[in-house]
Amino acid sequence: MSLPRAALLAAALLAAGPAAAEIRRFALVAGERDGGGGTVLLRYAERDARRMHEILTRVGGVRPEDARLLLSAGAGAFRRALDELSAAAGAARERGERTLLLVYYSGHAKDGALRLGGGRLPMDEVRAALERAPADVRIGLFDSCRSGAIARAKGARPAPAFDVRTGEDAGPTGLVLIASSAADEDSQESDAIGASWFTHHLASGLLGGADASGDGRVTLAEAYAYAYARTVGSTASSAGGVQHPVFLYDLGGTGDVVLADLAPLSGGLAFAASAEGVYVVLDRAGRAVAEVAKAAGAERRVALPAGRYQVKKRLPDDSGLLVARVDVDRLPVAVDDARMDRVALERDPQKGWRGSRVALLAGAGGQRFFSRAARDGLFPPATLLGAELAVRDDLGRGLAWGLDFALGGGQGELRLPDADPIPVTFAEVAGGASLWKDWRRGPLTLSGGVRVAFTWLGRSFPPAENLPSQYFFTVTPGLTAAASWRFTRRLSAVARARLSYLFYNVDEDRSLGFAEALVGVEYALSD
Amino acid sequence: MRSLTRGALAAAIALAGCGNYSTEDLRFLAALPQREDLRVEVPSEGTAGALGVCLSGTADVWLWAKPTSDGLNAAVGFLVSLVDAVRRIPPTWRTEDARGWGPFDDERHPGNELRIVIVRRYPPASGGEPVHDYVFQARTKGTLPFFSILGGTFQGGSASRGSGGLVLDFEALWALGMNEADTPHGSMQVLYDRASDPVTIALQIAQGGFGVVPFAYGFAGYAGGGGAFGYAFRDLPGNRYEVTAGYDAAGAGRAQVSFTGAMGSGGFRLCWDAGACLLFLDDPNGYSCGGAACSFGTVADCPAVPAPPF
Repeated sequence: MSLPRAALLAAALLAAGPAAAEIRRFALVAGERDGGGGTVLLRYAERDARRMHEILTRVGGVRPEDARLLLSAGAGAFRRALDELSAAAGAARERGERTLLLVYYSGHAKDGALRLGGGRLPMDEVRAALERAPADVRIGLFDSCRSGAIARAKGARPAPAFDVRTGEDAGPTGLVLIASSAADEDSQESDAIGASWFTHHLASGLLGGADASGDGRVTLAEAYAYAYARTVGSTASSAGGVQHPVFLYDLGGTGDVVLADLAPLSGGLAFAASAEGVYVVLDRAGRAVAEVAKAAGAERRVALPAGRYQVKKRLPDDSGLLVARVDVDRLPVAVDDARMDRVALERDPQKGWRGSRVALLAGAGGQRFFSRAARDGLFPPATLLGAELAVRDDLGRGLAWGLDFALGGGQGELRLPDADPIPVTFAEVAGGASLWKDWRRGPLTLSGGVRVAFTWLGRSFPPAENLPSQYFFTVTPGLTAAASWRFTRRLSAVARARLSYLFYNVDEDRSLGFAEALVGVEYALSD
Repeated sequence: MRSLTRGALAAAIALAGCGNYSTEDLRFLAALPQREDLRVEVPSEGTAGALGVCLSGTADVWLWAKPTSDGLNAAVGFLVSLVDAVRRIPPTWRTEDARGWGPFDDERHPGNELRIVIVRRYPPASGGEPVHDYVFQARTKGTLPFFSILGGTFQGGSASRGSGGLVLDFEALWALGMNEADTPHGSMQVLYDRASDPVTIALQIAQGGFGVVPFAYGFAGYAGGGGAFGYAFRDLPGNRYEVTAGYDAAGAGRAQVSFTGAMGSGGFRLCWDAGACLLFLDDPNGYSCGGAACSFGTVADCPAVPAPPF
């Protein structure tokens, strides 16, 4: 389908206006990672399904008891659930209710069949099941490769259908099939958004991004037009080739189908009429949960559950990003470009940038000079207690800086030639600044970087020795490395090692090296 | 090239430390004697003798040993108090084999300032052990010349395990006003050797002071607790006694005494037990008992001592 054609359909649907009558909605939502032999596991099919299920039950008017969510459940479960919901819709219809049955599928499709694990579900069978389902409106949404085949041939009438009017107050009736890609195209997932492109844009549209009219309701036409345009735009430059959603539309009656009603919801994001551009909404984990492509002229609301989000907008000249953190609760939160922070492109939260994070570390360890002569004659090993303030991702993704402080000491013996060992009490105080890079792999984080410290070393002797206390203060540059294991959201066990250089210049000029090791616990002050 | 030089210079300045953390300083300080290194340790007077309850008489000569050693230790304390000034402040300058302090104000004697230099050398005859030479000098602030008030030499790793000698010039202290009211005149020479058993300390006080008479005092302390002590004293009538005593760890001993006084000059011998009660007295001229012969006992009654004078 070409973009002008989609726009034409959308315009026709929009002209009809949304149906006002109350409608009982049933939804089967299925996500299937495995397509059987010859396919690769999909990374986001189940997440797509969970997302659509959440949206449909929250803003799509589907009661939780009327929704079925199948995650890699196989073809049999799909058939049973579809039969069950069809029966339920039929029963409701017999009670005089208007009914809508929606089927969403994200997974593999190949050779004219949906691939659900080891099972196959011919598209003709699915289509036929929808055609005969006893619901006033049947909608099939298929996000899978070559899913456009389901909307092809066999008497399909891919044409505007609002010329069929059944009555003044009757709502729309019939079948709508929407597929994420044409019959000869692949549907693509994106690691950047953590979803398939089509579902991502369809979900964003249902949350309010597609509400072009600004009336707080997202119709089928608006959702499709939005998902179509955004999917084509997003995949235009992808390696997998451009992806064109297709539809089969066979609706009669009056009005369009409202898929999402945002009006009853009090929270969410509110974009002013003047707002313009593509806004991406990310959840705490940095995953895109909504995307709003908006032109100036109408307000737009995005219905989000309560929580903390980040909104980002790429500046038109690619000179940076606008980023804002918002807390959604019961009242709409206005998104205003003027109140968003301008940051560099590399601080894109969608690419893992979660803002600077502050953590405190406390631990214990020790220090030891490499040279035995230095240990015996100058600086004996010491036990250290340390604390560190670490600021991560402040200078760039994975880059961190920190300020540390340590104090400690120990007892030892000073060995002089031809003299009895002299007991010595040794003390050390150090404060440093570090810059390092983190490499994260699950709960494990490895770090490496540089550090410069101010180090004070002192020693004193028993009064009987009648020897003066001595100190040495200098700058000690070095390297730092650490391994940490996060065992709760905020707590990590950390093992840190440092290699430092000390230029000793009192008796003579000597280059000395020493190592410090510290184990401790790190507490993150922010997520 | 210039920028490289500047960079290296900047790095050196940035990395250069500050402080007095010097093990070599400690080696230089270790060459200076401490109070314990020069201390004359003789046993306390025997209780019985001190109380005058000895049946056969008291070894009065030996009872003078402890107050004499106290006087000598007071002299040593005076000397060491001068030396200790150097331990409170870090060196003003350092070279590989020398340290220098000052001039700095003498806190105990305002208006004066001190200067100290210690030089280390390794003469072939020392067998690899360093020899430290040191001199303490003082002057009245604003005047040109420094006077040497104390000079010495030490061989060994530390004063507690080496040997050395030093001379304290009391006349210089008087000239600079650094004397105490009871500071003697003349000089004091100290030689000490703690490198082997026995530890020996020789103090020659040219003009007396600190409650002791001018004499070349000698002390040897053995690891087992006994020792030898050569000392001199005057009794209340003014008789002079020069004593060479040997004693065991319990304080029993024997002594050869040279007497000079109203009764002429001569000598006598005696032994005593741990309570300072006489065991043997060989004094045919009665120097120790008012002129009448007062010998009794035999040498066989005398205790064994590490360095018997007879």
